[in-house]
Amino acid sequence: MIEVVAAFTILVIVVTGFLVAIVSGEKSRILSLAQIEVQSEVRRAIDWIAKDVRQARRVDIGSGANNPSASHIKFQMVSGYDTAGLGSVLLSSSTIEYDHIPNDRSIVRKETKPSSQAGGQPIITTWVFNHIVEPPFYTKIKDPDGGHSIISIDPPVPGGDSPVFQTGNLVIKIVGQKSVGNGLTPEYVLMEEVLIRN
Amino acid sequence: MNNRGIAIIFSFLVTILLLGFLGVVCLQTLAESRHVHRYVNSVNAFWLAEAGVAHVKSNLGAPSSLSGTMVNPSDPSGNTYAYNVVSSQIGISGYYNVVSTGIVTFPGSVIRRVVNVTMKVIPPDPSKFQYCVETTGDTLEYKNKNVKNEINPENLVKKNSTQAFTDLFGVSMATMKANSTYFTDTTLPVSNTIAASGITWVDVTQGSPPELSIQHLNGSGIVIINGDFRLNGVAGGGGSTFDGILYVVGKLWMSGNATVNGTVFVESAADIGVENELTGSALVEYNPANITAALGSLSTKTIVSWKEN
Repeated sequence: MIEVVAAFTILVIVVTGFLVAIVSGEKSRILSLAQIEVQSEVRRAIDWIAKDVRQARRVDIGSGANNPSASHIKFQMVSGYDTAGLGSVLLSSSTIEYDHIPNDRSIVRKETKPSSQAGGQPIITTWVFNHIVEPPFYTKIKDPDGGHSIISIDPPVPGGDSPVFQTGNLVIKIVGQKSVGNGLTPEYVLMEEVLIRN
Repeated sequence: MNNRGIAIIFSFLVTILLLGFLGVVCLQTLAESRHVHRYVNSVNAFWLAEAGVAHVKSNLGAPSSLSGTMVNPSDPSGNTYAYNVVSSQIGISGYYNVVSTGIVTFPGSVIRRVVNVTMKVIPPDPSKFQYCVETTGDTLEYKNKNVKNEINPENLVKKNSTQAFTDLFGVSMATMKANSTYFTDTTLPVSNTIAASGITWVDVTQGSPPELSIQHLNGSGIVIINGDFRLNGVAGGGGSTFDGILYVVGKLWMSGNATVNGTVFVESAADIGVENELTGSALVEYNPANITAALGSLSTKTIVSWKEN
C-alpha cells in the first residue's frame, strides 16, 4: 500500500511538472510565432517600400502635390529614359501610394493603374502589411554643426513640399508589435535609409 | 506493481509528446534560418549589382561591359559573390543602357538581383583646345607651313597659355597616368616608334636633361610625354602621322615629316621645324573631330535613370 501511494505521489509530481512544462512551452511557442510573424511583416514592409522608393524621383515623393507626410507617400516609379532632345525620365503609368493606418495598425500599399480602355475604371491593387504601429516615413538632414538628424517628412508648411525634396533620401522606420496576451507584446523595429536614385 | 507500469507508460507517452513538440520547434527554426539566409543573400546580390554599376561609372571613357567577383575571407559558407555588367549604346546618342546583375551562389541555389540604369556620357569640353599649338611658355618658333587651322585661321599658335592640365582634361595627371597605356623611354615596344591608342603615357628617364627622341608617332588618342620630346618624322617605316592630342610636359621639337592632326599642347617652350628647317615639313593641323574623339576616352558618366528589374 505504501509503495502504491509513493508511486502515485511521484507520478502526480512528474505529471504536474510535465503539464507545467507543456503549458509554458505552449506560451513560449505562441510568443515565438508572434515574434516571427511581426519580424516577417516588418521585414516584408521595409523591403517593399525600399525597393519602390529607390526607383522613384525625389521630386515626386517630396512634392506638396502628392501630400507627403510621416504616414503617406505617393509617387510613380521610373521606367526608363527618353534620349530625344535634352532627354527626360520616363515614368511608369502606375501610381504607388503607401499609407499608415493607425487604427488597423497596418501599412497599405496601393497601386493604381489606369484602365487600358478609354473611360474605364482604373485598376487598383492593394497589399497590407500588418502589426505596424507607428508612421514610418522620415528623412535625414544635415545639421548646421555638421552632424545629422532624422526628422519626419511632414512639410514645414502645410501643403508645401517635404524636406525629402532637398535631401533626396527617405529613412524608413518600421515598428511592429503584436499582443499575445498576459501582457506580452513582442516588438521588432527595422530602420533603413534609402537613397532615392532618380 | 500494475501502477508502476502505468507510470512508466505515461512517462513514455509524455516524453514522445515533448520530443514531437521539440521537433516542430526545430523545423520552424530551420525554416526561419533558411528564410533569413535567402534574405541576406538577396541583399548581398543587390549590392553586388550596385557595385557593378559603380565599377562601370568609375572607369574613364564610354561604359563598357565587365564582370567581377568579390571574396569575403571571413565568410566560411563557401558562397561566391559576383557581378556581371552589360553596357550598350542607345542608338548613336551619348546615352548607354547599363544592366548590372548581382549573383550570389550558395550550395543548392543562386540568387540574382538586376539593376538597370541609363548613363549619360559627358566628355571633357573639346573647345578648350582652340589652337594648332599652345604652350604655357613664351618661346615658340615655327614657320607658317608648319601649322594649319582651317576652322579658324587666326588660331594657329598661342603662347603663355594659362590653361592647366586638369582644366583641359577634367582629370588629374595621376588619374590620366593610372588609366593610360604606360611606357618609359626604355620600355617602348618598338624602337623609335610610339604607336598610340586611347591614352598613351611615356615617362622620359634617359639623358640630362631627360629627352626622348623618336622617328615615328602613329595612331590616335591622347599621348602624354612626360619630359623633353624630339619627334623626327621619318617618311619610311610607316611614316609619322598622329590623330589626336599630343601633350608634352617639357620641350618639344618636331621635324621631318611628322604630322599631328588635332592639337599640340606644351608645358614650357615649343620649337617646331627649326631643327630641320631646310627639309622639315612638320605639320600640326588643327582638327576638332580628332580632338573630340581623343577626349572621348576621358568621358565621365552620370546616371540619369535607375530602376531595379
